[in-house]
Amino acid sequence: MPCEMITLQLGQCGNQIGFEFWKRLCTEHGINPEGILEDFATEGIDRKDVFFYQADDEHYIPRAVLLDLEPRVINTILNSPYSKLYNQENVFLSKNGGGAGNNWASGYSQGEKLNEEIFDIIDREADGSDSLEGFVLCHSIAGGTGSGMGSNILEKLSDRFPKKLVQTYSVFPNLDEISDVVVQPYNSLLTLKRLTESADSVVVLDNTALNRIAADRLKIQNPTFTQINSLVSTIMSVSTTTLRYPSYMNNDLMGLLAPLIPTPRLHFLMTGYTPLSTDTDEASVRKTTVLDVMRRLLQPKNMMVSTAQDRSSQHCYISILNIIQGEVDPTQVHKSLQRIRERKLAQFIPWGPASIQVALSRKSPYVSTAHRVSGLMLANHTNISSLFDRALIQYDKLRKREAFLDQFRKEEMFKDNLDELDSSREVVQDLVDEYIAATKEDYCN
Amino acid sequence: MIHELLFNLWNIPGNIIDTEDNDWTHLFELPQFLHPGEEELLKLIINIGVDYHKITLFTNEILNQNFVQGGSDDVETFSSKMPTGLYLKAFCHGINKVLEDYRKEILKLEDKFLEFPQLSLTYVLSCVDRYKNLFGVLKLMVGKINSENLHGYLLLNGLHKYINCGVDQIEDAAKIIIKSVNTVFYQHLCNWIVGGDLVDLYNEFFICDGKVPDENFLYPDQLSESLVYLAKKTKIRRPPPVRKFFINWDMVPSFITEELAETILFMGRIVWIVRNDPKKEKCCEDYQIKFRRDIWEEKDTEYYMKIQQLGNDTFNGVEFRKTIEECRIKLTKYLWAIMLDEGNLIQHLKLIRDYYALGRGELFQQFLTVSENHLKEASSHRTIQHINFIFHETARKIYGENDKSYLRFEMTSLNGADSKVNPFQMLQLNFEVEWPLHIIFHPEVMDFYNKLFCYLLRLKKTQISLYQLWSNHTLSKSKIDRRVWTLRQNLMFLVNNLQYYMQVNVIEAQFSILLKAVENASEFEDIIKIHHEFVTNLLAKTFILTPEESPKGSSKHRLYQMPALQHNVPSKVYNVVTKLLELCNKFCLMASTWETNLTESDLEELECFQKRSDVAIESLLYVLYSLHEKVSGSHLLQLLLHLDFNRYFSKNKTDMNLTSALNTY
Repeated sequence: MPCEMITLQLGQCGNQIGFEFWKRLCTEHGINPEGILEDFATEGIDRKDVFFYQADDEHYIPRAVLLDLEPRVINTILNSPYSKLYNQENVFLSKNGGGAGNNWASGYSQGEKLNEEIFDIIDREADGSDSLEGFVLCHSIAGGTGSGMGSNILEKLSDRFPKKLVQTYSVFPNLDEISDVVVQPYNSLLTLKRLTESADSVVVLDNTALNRIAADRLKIQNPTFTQINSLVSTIMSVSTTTLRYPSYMNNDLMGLLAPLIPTPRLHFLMTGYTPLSTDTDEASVRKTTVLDVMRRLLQPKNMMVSTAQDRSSQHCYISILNIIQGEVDPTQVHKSLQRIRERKLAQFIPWGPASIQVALSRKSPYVSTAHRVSGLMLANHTNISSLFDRALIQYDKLRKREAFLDQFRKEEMFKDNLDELDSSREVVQDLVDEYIAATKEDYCN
Repeated sequence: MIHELLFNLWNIPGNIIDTEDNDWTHLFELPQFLHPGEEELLKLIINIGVDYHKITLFTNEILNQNFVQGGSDDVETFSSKMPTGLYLKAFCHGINKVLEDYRKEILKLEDKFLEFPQLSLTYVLSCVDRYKNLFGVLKLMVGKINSENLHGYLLLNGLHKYINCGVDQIEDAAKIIIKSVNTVFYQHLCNWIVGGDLVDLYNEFFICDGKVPDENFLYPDQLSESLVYLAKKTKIRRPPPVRKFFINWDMVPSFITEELAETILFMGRIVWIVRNDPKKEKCCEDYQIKFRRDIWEEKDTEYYMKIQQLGNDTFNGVEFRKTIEECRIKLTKYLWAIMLDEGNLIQHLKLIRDYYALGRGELFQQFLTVSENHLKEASSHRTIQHINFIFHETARKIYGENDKSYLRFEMTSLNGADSKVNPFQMLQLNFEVEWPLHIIFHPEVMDFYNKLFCYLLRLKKTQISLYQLWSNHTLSKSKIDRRVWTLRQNLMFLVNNLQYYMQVNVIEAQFSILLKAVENASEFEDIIKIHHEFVTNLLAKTFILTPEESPKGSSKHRLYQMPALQHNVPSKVYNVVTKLLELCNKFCLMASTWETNLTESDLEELECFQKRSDVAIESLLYVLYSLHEKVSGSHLLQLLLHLDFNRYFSKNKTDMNLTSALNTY
């Protein structure tokens, strides 16, 4: 099967969203929690093999590697009905089981030590595929394992697999609540450097925005992890539909990303999804049209990234891909695009041609939805830099006070100096600057 | 003498053929006492008799042909000089029937004569005189038949005028003869319409059996027996041949209009096709008749009678049309139903969308990627086998056991021997079209689809090259010169939007119109019409071909129809697009050799590419813009809208009022 993707899920958050993602893929492809194809799903021509492979006994097994430094979340997965789904050899738990203590440096150095064991698994998984296209890495940038070990793996992946694309689904911390992880700004900044330099595409999942959407759009006052993660799994599954179903365009990750990411470093993507509803919320179904969906996707309040509204700068879209699912008349799509252009609902870069690309995608026949049309937006927007800007500000606050640096100095990397932090800050600052430059007409000159 | 006279009126006297009309006297030994007046009378009577004999001589000759058929050689040469055929026989039977009256009259006369031997010549004359006009007319006809060698239904063409000539006797005679000939004609018509059969030994019916497959439904590899084609014989099962039937326009009865004749031809051809369903034949060869597909759904006799009944009337145009139409509707609805149910028309159309229109992007993307790597080392003469192997292997890997539709497709290349040309420029698909859909999806139509396929595949290939360049740039993690990636991205933008326009604005949109129309259709001819509109729009809006400016109003009810497209006339946009694709390909090839730091010569090349791409973009926008003003081309604006979505291209172009054009359509 061509164009396979291997998923690496790291740390508490990475394994949680990974778990939700696989649950969702199983439902969409008609695979039961034990990996067996349901009777009603045997005729489909969906491309299950992109994310799954079949064992000798016909069971479908996710091309997933589960990694963590502490056993809590992975044990939950292994005690769930989905325990038999995964290849047990692909579940890696650090033997000391102590975790990374929410410390990027600890995660990074443990990753370094466990490197061989981890890459044995990844190599084996890669050898088992026909023509592997790339890796999907799920993690959070704030904690220890996902960010630290994740950073280490990101660096190693591009060394080991220089021809494979690496995409990450990276969860950014919720800034509305006070985090119990005090070194979060350090962790974030150090991870951001790797995301900028080693990943080919980063889908930003901003916990701030996710929580706000849950509260404002879904009317859930104190959203649980599961509720947030189900939002995330929707984004992850819909953004891969053109890879998983027969489609006339965007058939592989390359085809999906190439039009979105013109310049290598500006590869941080925002997402938006509409209409949103929870399991308990079937009553709020509205009539959805393509124009409704496409217009709502352009509204900041539907974006899964909380960006500061800065009126002085001319932030703009570098590119947009809308994946529209449901009963869609292609002529409606065109009319919607016409309307959006006419009313200038989207501001684009001034230095090159840009437009809203639309992929009409199939939907799983096994999942019923109350909405006629739904849409996911993948957008490359310069305003994502405001997120990095915030990370820089938080970092600077902490760094000025020289706070909590002792934990980092314990590790090899920071023993002699804090150059790594400084270099990371520089990389992120450059990134912000490049995004700002990309709003200007003379960006290419 | 009178008895002798009556005898002559009844029997053929001597060598009448050689006898001049006036010189009849040798027939009788004329008594000397005959008064000149009586002689005149006698002459008048005998003339009628001679006419009768001339007519019967003709009819007998025709009617007796039966017995001499297949006889000695000189009989054949003799009969070949004479008109032959069932219609003529029927005609003669008709005449015989008309003459019956006359014969009865003579018998009556004889009885009378035996009763009253002194019967006067005037009495005899008065009895036979009323046949004089009739015989005159009949003789005229016989003469015409002989001189013009008339046969088939043409025999009747002259007769219709007598139906309203005002003379009852002639009118009645004409009716009798017409009816007699009608029996044969309607027999033919019934066999043709109800059974799709032609039993026409003498080539008299206006529909002829070509006895060969219709070349319109044959693929090039079926047409040619030459060695060139044997080498690349297709593995795809070709649809069964369609027998060629055609109209012999000389033989079309005058009351049947051109369109009606086409309709009748069309109906019989449908029946023939349905009766010759290869699936049914195979499974029950011996019981073919018994299990034959019943197009009339057990009502064949009913329709047979209905058509036959038409023959009882001399001619009723309204009734004729009505009955034919009734039969046509029955047939066309049946054909429509089996096209949908057994032919799986919808499924078939979806396969065309999936394969010819690259709906299965994943398959063709992978196919192109894999074959490009493999073909570098493959030798040229096995290339096409190799391509097919890769195509099927790729499909098998992607779809596994669940979908084997790819086995109905096969790649072929137009440029057989010429290995210099890149085979991908000329790739075509062969598709196993199943009975009875092969009537709609005939070779010419499939050729149109192949034009689309070839074009979309080239577009896809260029797109992949650009993506791969992106991938190389991205994965290299090194800084790429801004000018290089901007050009790459601009070209990719154009190609992506072209692809999007083709796939969504044209193909998806037309396809959804097509499916809706198919749902609403109820007749076979509707499908042809809808489908041809689909093909025409597809090729016109993707700029591959130009539609006919004024589509010919051809008959609606024809088996073989063509979409209204001008062959080999691509639109101006097409040429610009192909140039753009070539430019992209060259750029990708060149840019992949460039190092991070561009050398002096790299920069020169880059500059050259930039200039050329500026020209290409400019001309594309200009052609689209200028054409939309001339042709009704909202589709041109659709493409423009995508290309100029953020007003990047139109910003500096005051000569094109794009914004207002895009806002007003």
